[in-house]
Parts: sequence; C-alpha cells; structure tokens
Amino acid sequence: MRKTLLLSIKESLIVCVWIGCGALTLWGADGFGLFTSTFQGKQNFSLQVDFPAVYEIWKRGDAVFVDTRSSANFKRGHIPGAVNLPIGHINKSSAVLPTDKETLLITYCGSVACPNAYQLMNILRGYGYKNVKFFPRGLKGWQELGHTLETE
Amino acid sequence: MAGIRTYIGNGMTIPLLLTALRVVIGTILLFSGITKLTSFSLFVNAVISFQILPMELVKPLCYLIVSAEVALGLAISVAYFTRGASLLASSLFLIFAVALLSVLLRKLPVTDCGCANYLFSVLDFFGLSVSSEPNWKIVFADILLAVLSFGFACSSQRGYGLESLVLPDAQKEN
Repeated sequence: MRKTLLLSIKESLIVCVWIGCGALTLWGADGFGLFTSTFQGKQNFSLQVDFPAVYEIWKRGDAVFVDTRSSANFKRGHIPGAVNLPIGHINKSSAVLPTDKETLLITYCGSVACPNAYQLMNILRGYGYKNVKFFPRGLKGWQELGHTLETE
Repeated sequence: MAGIRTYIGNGMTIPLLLTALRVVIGTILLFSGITKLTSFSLFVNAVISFQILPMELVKPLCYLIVSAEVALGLAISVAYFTRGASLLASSLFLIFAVALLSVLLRKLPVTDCGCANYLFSVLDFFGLSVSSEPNWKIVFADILLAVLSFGFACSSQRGYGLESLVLPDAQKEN
C-alpha cells in the first residue's frame, strides 16, 4: 500500500510536468487572443449590446452604464454618466444601483478581453434585475470609436 | 453469451469492470476539459463568480485546470501513468467539490458552476435538461469521482490499458 502510494506520488510529479507544459501552452495561445477575446463576439448575442446601438442608448439616456473596474481606474476615466461597481464590492443594496428592477443596465469593463462585464451582468440578473446587458468592447472600444471619457 | 461466460470463468470480469470505470472517469475529465477550452471565458467568469481567488490568479488557475483535465483525462483513459494521474484527478475533484460547497454555503448568486457539467453534459446530450447552477448533486458527483479516482491511485489493479503493454512487468506489479 505504502509502496503503491509512493509510486503514485512519483507518477504524479511526471504528470504535473505535462500539466504545467499544457498550461503554459494555453497561456501562450491565449496571448494571441485564441480564447478570451473571441468568446464575447461569438456567444450570448442576446445579452450583449454593441456599437452603434450602445451609443444610441447612451445618447438617449435610456440606461444606467455600470463600470466594473476599480474605483481608481473609474476616476481616471469612464463612459460619461456611468456608475462604478467594482466586481469585488457588490451587494444587493449597492447605492449606485437603481431601485427599479426593470431599468436597463449595461455593464462594461476595460476591454473585450476582460470578463468582468459578463460576470457582473450575471450577478445583477441574480439580484433580480430583468434588463441587464453587457457591452463587450468596454472602455477601450468606446475610446477607439472616438467617444470621450468623463473623469473625476 | 458463451463467450461472456468464458470471460467470467477466466476471472476477467474485474479487470473489464475496472477498465470500463477507468475509461468513464477519464472521458468525463477529458470531455470536461475540452468543453471548458471551447468556452474558456465562460469558465473564467464562473471561477470569478465563486469569489474565492484574487482576480490576478483566476486566469492562471483556469489554464492549469483545463490543462490538468485534458492531460489527466487522456492519461486515465488510456491507462498511462494511471496511479499518478488518478491521484491528481482525485485532488482535482476534491478541489471542485470544496469550491462548489463554499459557493453553496455562502449563498452566492452564481448562475453557472463552470464545471462543464461533467456527467450532466452527457445527460444534456441525450436531451435531459440539467441546471448548470451549483447544486448539491454536483458536489456529491465530484466527491464520488474523487473517491473512485483515489481508489485507482491506491490499487494495484487498473484493468487493461497502455500501461500493461508498454511498462515492464516489475513496474506493473508494484
């Protein structure tokens, strides 16, 4: 039994090397945007809102834009009128969230590679907000299309 | 039928059952790893929603988990370094169980367990709708798989596979 377990541990170390190599390969592949940056464009079309619709919504003031980044990043620049709700500081009674659960909320974060907007959307849906979408391109996309940012 | 009786009579039932069980565990892991890989960002989101790790560690951990599932799934399925792979698979299943348990106990509003649903994906394939929200069934499935994998790590019998073909007899017996 002891001998078998020792052999198991020895074999585990060899398998750990394979796993490490695999993880490094995935990391390298993801550096070329193979995984993260493509998912939001391919999946959940009904849950995302992109240009030009997002700009139209913002212009009309129909939605509350929710920035998921840290407050320091938020202060440096955000979509005008957006509220800040960092992903690690969320609770049901966040003061920045509207009381009307029917309000259209649009979550966003730094760029298309950042998963927080999608995550926050799911959390807000869990809190009972019925009309939540995410803006996959995030702040980077907003800037790339020439729109201004608001700073504090 | 006579052929099966001969197999049982020759004492081949247990190795055959072990082989089947080992292939099932390996396939579950492999399938799970591949589904996570094809929807990698959803998996990253799920891990973030567990609120266990700091944001900086989530992605590296996700690379490790996906890589581990694919490597362990392959190793266990074909029975190559089975003991080591089973020991690691057992630890992986336990980690998943503990993570899900923590989500359930903290009552977090998590909508996707990120577990690629293991057996549930197979059920889904056959048209049986299964919730991907963290629930006790998934925790128990993970614990069961951890126990079975640990059994393979400790046992000298693993059924038929690549190991019995390529490893020297002395190592097979150890």
